[in-house]
Amino acid sequence: MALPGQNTPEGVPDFKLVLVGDGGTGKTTFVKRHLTGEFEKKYEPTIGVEVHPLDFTTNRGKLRFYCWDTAGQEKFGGLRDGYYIHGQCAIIMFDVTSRLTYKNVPTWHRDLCRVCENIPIVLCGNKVDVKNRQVKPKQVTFHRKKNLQYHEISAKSNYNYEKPFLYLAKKLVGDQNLHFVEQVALAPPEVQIDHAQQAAYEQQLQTAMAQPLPDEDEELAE
Amino acid sequence: MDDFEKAVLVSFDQSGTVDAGLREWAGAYCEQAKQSPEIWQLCLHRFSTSGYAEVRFWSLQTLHQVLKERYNSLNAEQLKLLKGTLMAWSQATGKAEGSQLPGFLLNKLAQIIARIVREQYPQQWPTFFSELIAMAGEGAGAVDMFCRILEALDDDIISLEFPRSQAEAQIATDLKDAMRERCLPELLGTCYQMTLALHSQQPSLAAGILDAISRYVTWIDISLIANDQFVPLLFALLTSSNEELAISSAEVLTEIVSKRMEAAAKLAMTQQLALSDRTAAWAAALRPGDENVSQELSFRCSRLLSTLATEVLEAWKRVENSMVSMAAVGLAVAAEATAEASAAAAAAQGMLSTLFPPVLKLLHSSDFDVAMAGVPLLHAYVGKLKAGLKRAGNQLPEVQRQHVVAMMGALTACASYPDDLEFEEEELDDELMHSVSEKRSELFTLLKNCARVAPDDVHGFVRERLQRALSSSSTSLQEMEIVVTLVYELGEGAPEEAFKPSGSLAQLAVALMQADVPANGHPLVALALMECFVRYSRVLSQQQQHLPKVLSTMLGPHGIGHSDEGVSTRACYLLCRLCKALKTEMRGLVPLVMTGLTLHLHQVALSPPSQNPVQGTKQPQGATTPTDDRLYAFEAVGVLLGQEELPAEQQLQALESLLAPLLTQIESHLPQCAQQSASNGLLVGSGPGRPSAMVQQALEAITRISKGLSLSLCTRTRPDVGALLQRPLQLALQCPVAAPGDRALRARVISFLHRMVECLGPHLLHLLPSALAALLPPSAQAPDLVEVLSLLHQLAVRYKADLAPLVSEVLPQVVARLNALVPANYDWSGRSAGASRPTLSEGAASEEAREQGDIQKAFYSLLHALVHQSLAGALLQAGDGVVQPVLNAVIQGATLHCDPSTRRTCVQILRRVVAELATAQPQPPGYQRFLLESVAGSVCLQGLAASGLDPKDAAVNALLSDAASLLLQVAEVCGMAQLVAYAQSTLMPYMSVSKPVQDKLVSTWGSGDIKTCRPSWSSLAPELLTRVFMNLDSFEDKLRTERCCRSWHTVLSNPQAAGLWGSPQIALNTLDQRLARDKPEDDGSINLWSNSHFYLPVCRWLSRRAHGITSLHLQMTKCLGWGCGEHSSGVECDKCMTLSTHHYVFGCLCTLIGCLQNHPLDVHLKIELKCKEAVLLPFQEPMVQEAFGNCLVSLEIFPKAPDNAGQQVRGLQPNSPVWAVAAASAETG
Repeated sequence: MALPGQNTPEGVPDFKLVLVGDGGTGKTTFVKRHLTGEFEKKYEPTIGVEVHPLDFTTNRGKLRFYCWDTAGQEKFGGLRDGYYIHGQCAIIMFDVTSRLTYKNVPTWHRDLCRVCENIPIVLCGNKVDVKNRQVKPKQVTFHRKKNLQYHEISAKSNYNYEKPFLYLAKKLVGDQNLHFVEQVALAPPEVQIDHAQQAAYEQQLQTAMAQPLPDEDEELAE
Repeated sequence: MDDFEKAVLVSFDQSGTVDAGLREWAGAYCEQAKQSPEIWQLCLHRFSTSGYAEVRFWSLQTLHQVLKERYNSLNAEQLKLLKGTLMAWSQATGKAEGSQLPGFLLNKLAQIIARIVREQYPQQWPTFFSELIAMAGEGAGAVDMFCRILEALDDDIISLEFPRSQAEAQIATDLKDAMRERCLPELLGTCYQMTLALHSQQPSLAAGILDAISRYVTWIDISLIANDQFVPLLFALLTSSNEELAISSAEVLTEIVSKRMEAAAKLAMTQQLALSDRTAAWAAALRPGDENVSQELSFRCSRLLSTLATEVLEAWKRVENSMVSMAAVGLAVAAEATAEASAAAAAAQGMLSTLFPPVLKLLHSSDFDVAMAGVPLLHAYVGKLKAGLKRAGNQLPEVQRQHVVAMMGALTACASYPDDLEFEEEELDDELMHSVSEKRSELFTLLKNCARVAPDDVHGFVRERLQRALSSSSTSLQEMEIVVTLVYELGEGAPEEAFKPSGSLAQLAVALMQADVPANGHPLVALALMECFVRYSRVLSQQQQHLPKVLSTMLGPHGIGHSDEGVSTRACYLLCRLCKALKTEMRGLVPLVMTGLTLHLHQVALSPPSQNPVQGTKQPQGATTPTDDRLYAFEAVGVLLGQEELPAEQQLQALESLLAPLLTQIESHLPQCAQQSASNGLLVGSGPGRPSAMVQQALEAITRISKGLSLSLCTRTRPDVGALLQRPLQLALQCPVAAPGDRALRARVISFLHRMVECLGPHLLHLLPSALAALLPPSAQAPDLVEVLSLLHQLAVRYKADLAPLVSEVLPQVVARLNALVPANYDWSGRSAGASRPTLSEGAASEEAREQGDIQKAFYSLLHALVHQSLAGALLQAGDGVVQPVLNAVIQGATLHCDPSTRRTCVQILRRVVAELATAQPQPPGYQRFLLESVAGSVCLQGLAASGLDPKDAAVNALLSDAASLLLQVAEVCGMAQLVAYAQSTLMPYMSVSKPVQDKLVSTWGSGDIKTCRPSWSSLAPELLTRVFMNLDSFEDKLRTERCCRSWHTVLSNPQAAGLWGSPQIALNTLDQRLARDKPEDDGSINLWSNSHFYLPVCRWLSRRAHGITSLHLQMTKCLGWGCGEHSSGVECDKCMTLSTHHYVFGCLCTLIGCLQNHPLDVHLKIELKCKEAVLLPFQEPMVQEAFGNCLVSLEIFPKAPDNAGQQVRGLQPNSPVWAVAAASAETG
């Protein structure tokens, strides 16, 4: 959706991206890693949403996400799912150090899909830099049921920062071969990710991919 | 647009054109409007009249909010009007052309209707579903709305996917029950009719209906959908030209297939509806994974196939197992039942055979998800074959052997690199490599399992593929690579016989070793071949005739000489592995290896890796200094040449010629190093070709060679070899002197010295002083000192008492550097160095302070090593210039350091020092005073009494027990009377301990030896002494433990001690905070299911603090009993608390009760348990009963254990998967 006040440069396609997830999962930190976003961001804390223009350069030219960071809306109310209207893509974020935030992912997904039908969605497990994680890769199965993309990220260390955006850009542009051609300008990492540990997690995730989904609490047939 | 609409629009506007203040005002205005009692009418009005989607959305959103929060404020009349309006809108939607509402409004409408259904169905709105069904007949828009309402019911009420409170779960159950009773057949019938009617004209509507149904399959009577009408329709729709419809049909079928049912019933259903045949036929026709089939559809197809096959397999297993287990326990089974079961098993096997070919075909797909969809099934199938193997006399039936061979074919295809890839292009695609290796890790596990159940067939398969691949020179590299890799993988964990010359695997390996392998120049094939050779080194050891050819491959242009750097580097590593495994066998081939390697070794030595890797090169991320794996070649040579069995002359000569160029390299570059170091300062020697890098590379090469040279070789059997190392040692020691500022070089020298310690042992001792002097020049900085300290640490551990002379020689230098680097006013608490725990640190420490902190820690660990390696004497005789600063540093650390484990290190050093001093003759002057004032006074009493230690920290507990032992030591050496006198005269007044407390302390101590004294615990002084004395007790017996508990109680109930530690307030707050950390559910209970690690600390806390608790009210509700209902007890399960957790929780409670039992006070313990009777059982065990009976504790368990033991406590779902402690509160004091 074009946002007239924010002056997308001529010829640059833009997309409304809705960012949701429990409070404290790191949505705002995530958005603010992107330096253009930080630079031009419009800060509107009172009604619980901040809109950041995030620019990326692809092999097919520039594109812009207007990222609707719905931080704090759980507390402040605001327009809740009203913010999702005309959303073109979304990121659902949870915190791998808190099970509760993962448990609430289905609810976020449901509320999102009611307003934005058939949009590409990425599920992001944030804070994978933290050593003591509570949600292990093999426990993350929601995306497989709903055919979402899943990425493990760490906003603090910039780990996998561009992955969710790249996936969404590919889907929105309809080009599987799309790639980013310039390094995204990010704030310097505050922590170093343990790559060996992360590689182990990625491995677990891949192993988990091949496992059957856990049974739901269904009742026996009558 | 009126003002109200404007307000709503403005509150939605995030475009940046609206003033933030105005938007805030608009938002507040809208919020205000919501409070009006007539708002629902306003919403209805605005929805039907406004032209703005935002306003209409706001109206519906608000209506939903009103129904959710203020339902009771609406009367029956109003609700009736509301329902009528909403249903009319639903029906009307889309009737007029072009007026179709956007989806988000329709969904909101459906959500509101679902909310009313939740409140009113079936009592106040019994006709809802008939109204809904009637509505669906009103055209396309109404059908769409019908689907949305069904989905909203599932989303908001029924689905188990979302977290729901117990009350909400009850509502869901009630709704499902009511629907089962009243409307399901009709509803499903309507769905069938509509799907039938719509699928060709309006396929997406039909797909919508199927999507809605698929959500209901799990809980409705399965015959309503798995019947002769619906299933054929679904299979017909799978081939619909509309993909959406095909996908939805596949989804419904997948749900039907995975419905939880009795095994026999599931098999009967599958058979009766010919699900296997139909699915297999569809898959055969569709060819999932083909280019012209969409990924989505392929994936759904693969999922249906694998789900069905898995279900059939599982049912088959269950039918068979029930037969086997009944037979095992000796139960007679009716002939009829046996016949039925075996018929079912046979049917299952037949269905599986039908499904097998299409499942295997999935593995040929190039799409990752599609290809891997069938793999879990294959794992399960092989697992079943393995289980049945014993019963079948270790021989699989023919059909199953064929299955295994077919699986081999499929997995080989799946694991191969794709045919169409251009490998000639410089680099392989990273993503491709990644995806292949992911697939392989799964597939090769399967391969090994296959080889376990049918070794002959699997080996035969690989043999045939290998023969075919070797027979033609035009074999593709993909083909060759996979075959070699199969041989390699089979070698992992294979039985010993397979490696004997007659073994089938050995024959495969030998075939590879002998052959001229096609495409062996390609990096992938070359790598696979070498890996394979090394894995089969056992074969080479038994058939040594193949060794020369293998070696020449590894040393030749397809090995170490390969133009691809990755291959040649890996070859160095693999050669080293081979040499280690076969050094005896290769003894005769040493000349061959040396000839083949010399040139390569030169190259490696002369081309050190870059130390500042350019971005984009493949260095392991995060590594600071790149390790050069090519140096393994030197290690390989060292292993070969280090054998004592080699002729002395040959050995010496070979080593000499190996070392000579390396030594020259060091000698020739060292002067330049020195020059550069002098001119450039610190940044010397980064980058290849730089003098420092050349020296380092040569040093590292020598280090690697020396790994093959054992201590006994260098010092006893071949001292000449040991002598060879003297020259490198001298050169190495020159390095830090020549280039004192070169850190990287220093590090290499230090690691070289570590090696030399292992090779030369005692022969190195005389060189150490000069070595250490070289490493510790007056210019040495903090990191340099830390390195030397850790080297000394290692030397102390290695040489123990032999190091004594060195200690007295080197320690003064160390202390001198320490004094120079650590200022006199240094903060020994380590706080400024940031040593406190991260959560407590008040900002980052400066680099300098941090380095000083590192020195402090390294110094302590060196001293710790010295005193624990019989070097305490040497340390104390090192002269006053050493002893004073050392003791000062240790006392300071032991008194002040903020990290309890560092402090404990210091206390342990002191314990050794005190023991050493006790035996010293004559005793040094001021010795008693030192013990009393510094050790007992500062460290043991003042230090511990100072705040900053967290009693919950396990490290603090360890510190306390060491401190207590130290205090005991002092008391033994100085005499108890002395200690008491000192405490009384100096320490207590200084610490402002009040007179009565002093007296108590003194009377306690004065009553005799600390070890045997039995102080009256209830009269003890607060905090400080309790803490120390508590740790004097080793908790060996119940009596002492009990005493300790009482002392805890005394402390807790002493108002003076409150605020210091463990006070009732603190205790209570801790628990409250723990409880508050998890967000409460709607009904105020805390759902522990979300964080099963939560309640353990609470229980642990309760049992630890038991002694201070006088009243406890523990309430547990919604306990699930023994599991989440998906498994039997006693297993690990992520979803629920496990059996052992139960035991743990109740173990804690029993401890608690046990503590209370001996408690002199009246304690009221009220435990409210609302759970299955099984949970109450531990409380009825005689032991616990007895505890209750004897104590003053009054115990109430709510509700009372049921009279009928088999009956469940009312009001609970038998398998409710939630365990919650609704409230646990403890009162103390």
